Amino acid sequence: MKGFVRAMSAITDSFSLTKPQWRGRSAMDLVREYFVYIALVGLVIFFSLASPVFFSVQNFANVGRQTAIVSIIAVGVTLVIVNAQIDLSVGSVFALCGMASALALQHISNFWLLGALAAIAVGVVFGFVNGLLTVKLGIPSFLVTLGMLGVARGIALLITDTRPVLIANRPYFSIFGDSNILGVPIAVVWTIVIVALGFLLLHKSVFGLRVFATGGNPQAARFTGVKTHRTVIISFVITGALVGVASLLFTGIAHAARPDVGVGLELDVIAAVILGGVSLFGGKGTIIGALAGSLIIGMMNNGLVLMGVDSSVQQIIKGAIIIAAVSLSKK
Amino acid sequence: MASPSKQTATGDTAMKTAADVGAAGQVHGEPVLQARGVSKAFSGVYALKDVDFDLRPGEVHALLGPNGAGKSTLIKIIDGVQPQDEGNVEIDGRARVQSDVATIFQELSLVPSLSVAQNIFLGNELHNAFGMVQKKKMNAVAQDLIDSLGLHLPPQELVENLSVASRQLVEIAKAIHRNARVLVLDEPTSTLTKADELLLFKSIRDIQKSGVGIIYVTHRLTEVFELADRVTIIRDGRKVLTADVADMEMSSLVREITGVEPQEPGPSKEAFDRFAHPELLANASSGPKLQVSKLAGDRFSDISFTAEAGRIVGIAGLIGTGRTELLETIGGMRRSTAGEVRLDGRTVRFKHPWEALSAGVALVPEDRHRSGVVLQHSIQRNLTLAHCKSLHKGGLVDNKAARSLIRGLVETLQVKTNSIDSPVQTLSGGNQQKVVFAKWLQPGMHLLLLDEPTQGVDVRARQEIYRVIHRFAEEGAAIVVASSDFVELQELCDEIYFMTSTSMSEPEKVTPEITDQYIYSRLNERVRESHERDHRQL
Repeated sequence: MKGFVRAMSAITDSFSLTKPQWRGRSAMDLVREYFVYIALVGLVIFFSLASPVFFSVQNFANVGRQTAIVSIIAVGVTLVIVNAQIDLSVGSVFALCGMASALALQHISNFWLLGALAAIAVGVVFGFVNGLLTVKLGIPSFLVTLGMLGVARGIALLITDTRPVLIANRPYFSIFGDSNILGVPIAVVWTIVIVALGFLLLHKSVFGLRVFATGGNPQAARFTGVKTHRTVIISFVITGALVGVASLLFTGIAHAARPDVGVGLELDVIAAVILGGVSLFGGKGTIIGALAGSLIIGMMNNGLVLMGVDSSVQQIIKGAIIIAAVSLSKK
Repeated sequence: MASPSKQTATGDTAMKTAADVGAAGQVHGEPVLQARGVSKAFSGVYALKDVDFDLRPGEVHALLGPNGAGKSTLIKIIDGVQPQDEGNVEIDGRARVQSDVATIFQELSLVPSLSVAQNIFLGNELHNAFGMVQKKKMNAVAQDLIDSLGLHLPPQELVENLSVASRQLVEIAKAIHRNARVLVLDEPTSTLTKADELLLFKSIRDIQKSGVGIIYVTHRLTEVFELADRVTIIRDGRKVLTADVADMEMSSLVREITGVEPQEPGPSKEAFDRFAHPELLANASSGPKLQVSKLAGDRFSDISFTAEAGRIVGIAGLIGTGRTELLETIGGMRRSTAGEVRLDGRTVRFKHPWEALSAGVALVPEDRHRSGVVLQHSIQRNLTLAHCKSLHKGGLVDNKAARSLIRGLVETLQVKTNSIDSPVQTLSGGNQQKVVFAKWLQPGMHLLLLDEPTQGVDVRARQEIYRVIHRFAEEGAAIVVASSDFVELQELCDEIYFMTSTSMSEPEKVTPEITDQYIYSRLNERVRESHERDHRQL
């Protein structure tokens, strides 16, 4: 009888992994399950009380614009982490993609699409190399992408001898930078489109199933006929492409590409993804959770500035909140 | 006898007992280990029920039983890594402490880059007043210990340079240095060559003299007669008997291990008709479906056999003979080094399981936790992945179709679960294995390679899985079953091949005369023959 009760409770517990089941679960369990969303709402309330300008349409548009880069890259990094891999190179590749776009516009042809393609192509190449080295040489992706972090940053600094490259292309600025669609900043539109595509890819497509299986148990995935190497490479390539897109949003606002941007961006992105409930061990996570995690990171950046917190103190607070949030959301 | 600098009271007792045994020259005295009324349940199913077990000093006590009988659970409880639900375990008449029992697992717990002596002293190194490690002294003490156990190991040699058997001996020396009273050897010979095996057996006989009790788990019954003083058999979580090996014969041992399985009613015929896939009849040619000739790969060589459509072929082999590797090589998980595989007369050489799958060859792996399913994912997610070919529209999964297909599969295979959203890890072993089978229940599968299809599966679920396998055969698939469960082979197969790592016998038709005892003795005969052949070649 005791064993039966235990078995039943194991079965009820199990629902938490797939579908919310309200009955028979403690409040704490629910808090853990939906922690990232609760934290998001909590932060909105906190900053609204702490700063008079925080709770406004204008400022939310700001947060959305400032968060776009982290949110978009987080979609790719979520794929990579659900695969039980990691990508530390996104910050450096981000800078290099921007440089590629600006240089293509300056030296080849000042046509906005060319710049966009150049940025995305550089991202894809780096993603492909990351994935290929990881699966073919069997080097842990932590080390591969740590190496590529240095390589990409070095190239970005080298090509112009650390000088920024100006962009002068009006359509480019409108498409990626400072225009609005129905009052919504273009960066937010890009975020919505990419998050929606990422959601379809990870949660509704066959490829997404393969990603979950590859991260959850690569051996079982192979026995089931999944080409696990290909799945990993494609995930890195998608991440690279999204890093390229994110770099366009930055250069579109800044009207220039700088080789020293995006330092530490990978940490913001990984923190966002983990806050969003994606397991570092692979096989578990959601795109929507990662988006919520990105919004938390973005809102902290924005809210702490509005509160007039010193930038060094901001970093301490951010670090502490990330540790606290992850430890609370963990079982 | 060598003793570490900090000799404890237990160590002294160990030495005294050793002297007693040495003087008398035989096993006697109070039991070193006494387990009474041990029970353990997992998810409401008893893995062990009211088991008594005792171990005398200086004794080799063989622990036998079929797969899933509860041997490993008993060992874990004796070792202390798993708590028992009921009953108690005493060492030398007192409560067990952590160092009392040492289990020598197949995955050894040594540091390969350290020396033999450093490994023996790992965690309690000898040091002087300044905290400096006394390497010379450690080597000397280790040498004394090794000599006293009659082992031959150079204390300064790095562990990574030793053979598997020697590493096991280092583990044993390490355990005895820590005053272990009970050694558990779990299938120690499964990865050993014959020469290493002889070395291990000789060492075990020497170690017995020190008064340590040895629990010896094995599937190879010949070893029981070679080494053990007593034998305990457990089956379905209960103790069947404990007896002196001298009073037992091979045939009675096999009979007690296998037991008589009760007949359980299978699922209804209607359920099967629902599940029938007419597409399975695809290219049901009359010739041999699978022809393997002189195939060689990891841990096996010179293997030839044939499987025909509609027939179930068994491959009997002891653990470590390369059965798993053979199936994985045919199914594309491993590469062959020589020989040929023909499918429907055409030579194939799958480089990846997906190639095999698209040719209609399903490889159902042995270890379902490691290779069969993603345990933490739901039944639906596991099955949708396997069936995604028929479930997607332009790359997106048709969720409604997936759920209805999976509900049908779960119902047909009688997977007992509340919901297809339950993670596979919440199911019992038998139901998990049914989920694994459901993955391969796809149109067009015409060759099934099954590795230990019912390991750790209870009797009833086993019968249900057998029906599924028979159904596949009736639909025209050829089926190859590799198993160390001889009752299973006898019950399931039309014909049986006997495999050693370097040879395959001619097939033998399964008739009522082919009992599991017969399979077992036939297999040991072949192993002996091949060893003799190896020795002649040496």
